Amino acid sequence: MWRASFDKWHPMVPVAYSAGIIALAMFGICPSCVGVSLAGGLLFLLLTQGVRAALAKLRWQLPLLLLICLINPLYSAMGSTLLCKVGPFRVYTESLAYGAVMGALLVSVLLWFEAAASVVGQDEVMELGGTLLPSVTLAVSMVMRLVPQLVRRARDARTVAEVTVGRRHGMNEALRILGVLLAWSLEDSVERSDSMRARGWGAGVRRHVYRSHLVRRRDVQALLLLILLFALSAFGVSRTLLGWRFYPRMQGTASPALLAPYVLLALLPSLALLADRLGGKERP
Amino acid sequence: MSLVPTVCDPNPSLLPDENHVPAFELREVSFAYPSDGDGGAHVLKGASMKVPEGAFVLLVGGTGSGKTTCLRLAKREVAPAGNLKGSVLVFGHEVRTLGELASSQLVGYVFQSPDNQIVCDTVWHELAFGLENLGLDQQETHRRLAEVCLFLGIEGLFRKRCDELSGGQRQVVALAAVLAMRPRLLLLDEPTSMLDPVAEKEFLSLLFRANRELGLTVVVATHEPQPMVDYATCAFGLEEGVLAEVSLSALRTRPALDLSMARVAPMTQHARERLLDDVWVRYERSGPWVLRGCDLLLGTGEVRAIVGGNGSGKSTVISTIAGVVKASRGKVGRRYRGRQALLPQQPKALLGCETVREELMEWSAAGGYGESEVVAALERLGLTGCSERHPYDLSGGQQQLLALEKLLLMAPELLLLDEPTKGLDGASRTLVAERVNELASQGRTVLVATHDMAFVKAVAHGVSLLFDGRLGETEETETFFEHSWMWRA
Repeated sequence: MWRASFDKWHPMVPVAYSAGIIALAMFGICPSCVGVSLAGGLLFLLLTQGVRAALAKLRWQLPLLLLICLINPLYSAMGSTLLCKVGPFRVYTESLAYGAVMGALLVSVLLWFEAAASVVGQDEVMELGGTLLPSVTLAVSMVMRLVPQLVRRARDARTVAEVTVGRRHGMNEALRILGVLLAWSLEDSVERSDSMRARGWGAGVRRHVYRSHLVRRRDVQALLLLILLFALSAFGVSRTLLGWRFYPRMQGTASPALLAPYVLLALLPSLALLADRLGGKERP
Repeated sequence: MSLVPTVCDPNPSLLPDENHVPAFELREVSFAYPSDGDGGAHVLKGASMKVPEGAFVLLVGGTGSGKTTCLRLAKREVAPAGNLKGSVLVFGHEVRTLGELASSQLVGYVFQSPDNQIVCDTVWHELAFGLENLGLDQQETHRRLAEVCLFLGIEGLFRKRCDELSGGQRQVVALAAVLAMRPRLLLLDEPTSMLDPVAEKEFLSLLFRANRELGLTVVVATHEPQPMVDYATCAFGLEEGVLAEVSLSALRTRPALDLSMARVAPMTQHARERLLDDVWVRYERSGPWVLRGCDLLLGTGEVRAIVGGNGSGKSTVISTIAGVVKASRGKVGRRYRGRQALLPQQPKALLGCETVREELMEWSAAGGYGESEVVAALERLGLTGCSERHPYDLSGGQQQLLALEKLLLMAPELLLLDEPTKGLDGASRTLVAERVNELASQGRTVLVATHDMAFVKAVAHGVSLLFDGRLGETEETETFFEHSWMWRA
């Protein structure tokens, strides 16, 4: 199991990659495009989480794929190759294939979202937002702290009453807890706002945001390279999509040359991990 | 009270010369909060004092004595609104005319609660918060963060989330966040009252280093001066708005709890009930064990204290007996289920009504009590005149006693108290202790988890020491303290 480690890059690199690959995975509705993104996502999952965790994921994702595959013919009775009739439904090969591709697409998008979450932490997002919207970033940071605190307090308020007067349910109990939390939070917020003002919040100076990552030349180079790869991939994917149709009969070919940039892009994180691994030591 | 400003005797090595401008000075300061009556009661009456640069000053007084007002007057951004006469000077500048930016750079302020004063979710962001507000550039911010972390030895916490930290660590982070702004005068309002004794000592030693090594002037408002007397260069007492210098040696010998009522001998001990039998508890499936083979026998009518270090699992013992936390292994006695009450560390978890009276009436249907019992309870609390006030308008000690009284109206046989004296001043702790002694005299069983040893001496019949997830053999309170090495004094 290898740790997904991209923290030596400026956060904008993994964030840009994640946004791009998820967008491409969502729009490429044809068997070859979905195949590419699914393979890339699966490989990354295997490398970072190990076989057992990957299998555990697939245990619920594969049935999901199958379900979408089987449901689609019920909705769209289109196509030309009749497979069978189930009651009033006519099941065509094309419609079944479309369902399978949609299911696989959904699974691959889920995989890429998961990969993004493992690589891009909350700190990274804050770092990117901080330069553009300092106040929003601060608010997000506060919310990230206060929401779990609120949940903990709600649990405390409930259990304390539960121990003393027994378990109670319903609207009244919910309202009581809400009352406790509201008074408590308002009280705290007075001290918190004092603490903020005491440290110069709103003292009239333009806030600077401290960035714990610096943008380096290699970050810019990597970003430019990514943008180039994305442009080529988007071109390849859109041409492939234009040349492919499901109905009335599946038609079209996928040119390997057109999809090559997309293949490279989908394999990029896994290749980076492999390079790290085979290089033996962390690259600068 | 003399009208001549009291100048405290500073550490001579720290003072450049006699004519040096004091770091903090009050000149004939009177202050009253606005009220509908004739100007309201005076919180400060002609207070004068001079704090030389580099001093470590204690400001001692009970709750409501005006300590906080005194400190806040020196910090423009959080100064109370009201009628102020006289002058408050910081390094020779009148505070009222000091700009907000200048004030936030010159004067640092650390608040009481480690929870409430933390603003951001990660430690690094919290430390950078004040520097961002000052508009410092990357290079300067980086240097200051580095230096404050090195000085306090908290580099290891830098990338952590604030919620992962203990209360003591969080308070150190709050101190660091203020120190990073490089103030010359540091004001602290009860900074250690929510901490356990070990964390308190750690915090104070860091504060002391900042004072001696960086020449920072420190003023600490506290109701519990004993742990910091040795660091202080002088002390002022505040009583009913009157400020006067007090000698440090007088503070050293002050008793922690002033009990008019002696501890009650246990009622005839009936059968001892086995409440925990080889109990193992952990919070995550593969997490560390918090309790490992924990046993507890509790006599009827006994007041038992559970003591132990920070994070040793005292609260877990209480929660397990209450049935809030499930044991992974072992048996938990159910004798008191439905006839027990739990006072949480934060009484606010119990208080959600609009008025004190409603608060006490809330469970009347479930508890089978009525208006007359509530009136009696109000009288016991001394809050008869305040029955229509919001519970949050009461002092911390009164809130604690109100929460306790609310539980007692349910007539529980077993009372579980989790750190009932946390954050309370001596007078309030005494009141809580007296109330517990009263309960003991009525034959109620009380289990109290605390690190307040003076409180243990005042109320407990027996003490159980929690360590390594296991409760040691229970000893009588006297025997426990006699055999103890660190708590004998």
